[in-house]
Amino acid sequence: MSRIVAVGLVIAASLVGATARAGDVALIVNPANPEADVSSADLVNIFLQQQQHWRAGGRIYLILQETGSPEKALVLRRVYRMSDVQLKQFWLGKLYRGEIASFPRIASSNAAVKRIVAHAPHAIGFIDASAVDASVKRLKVDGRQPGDPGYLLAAPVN
Amino acid sequence: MTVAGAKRSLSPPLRFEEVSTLRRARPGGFESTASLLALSFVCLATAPTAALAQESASLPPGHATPADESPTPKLQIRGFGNIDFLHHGDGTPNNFAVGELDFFTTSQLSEDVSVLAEVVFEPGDNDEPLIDIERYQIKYSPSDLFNVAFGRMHSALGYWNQTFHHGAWFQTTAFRPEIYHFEDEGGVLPVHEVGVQVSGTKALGVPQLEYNVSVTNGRGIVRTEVETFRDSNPAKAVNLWLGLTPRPRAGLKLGGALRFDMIPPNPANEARKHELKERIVSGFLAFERGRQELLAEVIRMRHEDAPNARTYTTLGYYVQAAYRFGRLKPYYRFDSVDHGAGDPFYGGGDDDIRRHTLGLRADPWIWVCIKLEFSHNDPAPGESFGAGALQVAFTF
Repeated sequence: MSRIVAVGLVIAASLVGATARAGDVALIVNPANPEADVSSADLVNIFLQQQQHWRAGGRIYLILQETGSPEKALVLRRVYRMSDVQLKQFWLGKLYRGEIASFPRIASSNAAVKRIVAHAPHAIGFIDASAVDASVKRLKVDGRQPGDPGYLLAAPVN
Repeated sequence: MTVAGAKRSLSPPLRFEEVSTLRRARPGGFESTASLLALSFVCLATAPTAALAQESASLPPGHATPADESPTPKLQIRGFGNIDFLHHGDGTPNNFAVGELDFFTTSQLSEDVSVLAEVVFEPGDNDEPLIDIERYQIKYSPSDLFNVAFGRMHSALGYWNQTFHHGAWFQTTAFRPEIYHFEDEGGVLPVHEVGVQVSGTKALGVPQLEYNVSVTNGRGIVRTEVETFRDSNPAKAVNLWLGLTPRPRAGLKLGGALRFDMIPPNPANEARKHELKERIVSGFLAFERGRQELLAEVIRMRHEDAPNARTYTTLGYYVQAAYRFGRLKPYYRFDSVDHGAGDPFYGGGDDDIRRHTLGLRADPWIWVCIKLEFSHNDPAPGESFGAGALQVAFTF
């Protein structure tokens, strides 16, 4: 009996630990994507489009959100470390240098990002962690997911 | 396409989000300069009214990129321009000057294939308009480690040439470093090349290593020539470039290049009756992070006239520093070029250059900047003079 209680407590603790806080942002990919975990260094390279192909093959299709979304604000702060204006200028520079042939796609909502990622095998996007469902796969960052201590895209503590 | 039509199309600038999702395409038709220009203008004129497609057009299952869902490839077009007021300081009257008008287009033809074309309208020596195809290339990019491009490209000589090139809006200063002047401005470097470039990026843990290897037509008979449609000798130029970014967000990049070419003889010039063996060696350091900018490059060019047992060495370098305070960015640059004495390829008439430039860049709007700069030139002892420039540079 005590063993069952102990196991139950462990499961409960892990569930509590994995519960995303309001405002946490999740990285999502297509369920067919074999990636399950990326390092924060790789994530930065992917979002800066220094890395443009998945290790398993296929060009990474980066989906960003519109200016003003809280999810984009968090990604700008934690991943890009740029202002929105600086990011726009950064993309134009990459285009001009021939490093990319088109700008990343912009979606206007969590639902829109999810819909695109669910249909595009090589896509990656970010949405509010509470909006993740079975149509997409959540990526861990450095082995952590929303709700874990030290998660890169955890909501800022006020 | 009328000029009026083109002007009309310039007035409503596109939002970034709109540009990112524009879907207008006119594939093909790149056979000639005229058709390319016509295509550029047609697209420019139609771009602001092009249908937008954001998330509403979801992708069919199995399609990896937006190019797959479009009936034709999408064309991205951007423009860059600058207008200057110049004080030469050497007795030449001050003047207003229309700078380059640069139309830059890209299109993703498939997941791995893209095309890039850059056409520049610029004033010639006698104020007549010139049209240059500055870049025109098709690129196959199956992986990060291997990309191959064919066409006319920027030579990977160091940092500035690939990073800023024609768009004055990109660069902090009003003008390019002296060592990087364009061929048709009497520059000493082959800043454009026509041939094949293989490039790629390899992550070494956190550091990133980039490489670029090119085999191209190389130099023409005279310094102003880029051998775009022919090659005057069977030898091809070979260029090797390496760059290292220790940490992607740290803003530091180091690297260098090595280039070999055989410059064809010039039958019209007695001093150039032999081939010249050219070797260019360069190194650079670039640090651009947040408010800070530090760029430094050094390039050494060696021309060997083997039959006459003569060698000529030209050495150029610059150091540029800037620091941004909000929308203002003061900057300083020192340029130096020591031309190889008597180098027959350069004609032997170039003055050495020592130039201090002090300037201020203001960015009152996101896509428009204003630069005010003053320079002090010391071409030779006792021959110093000052010059100044006011430049408005923009992208649209």
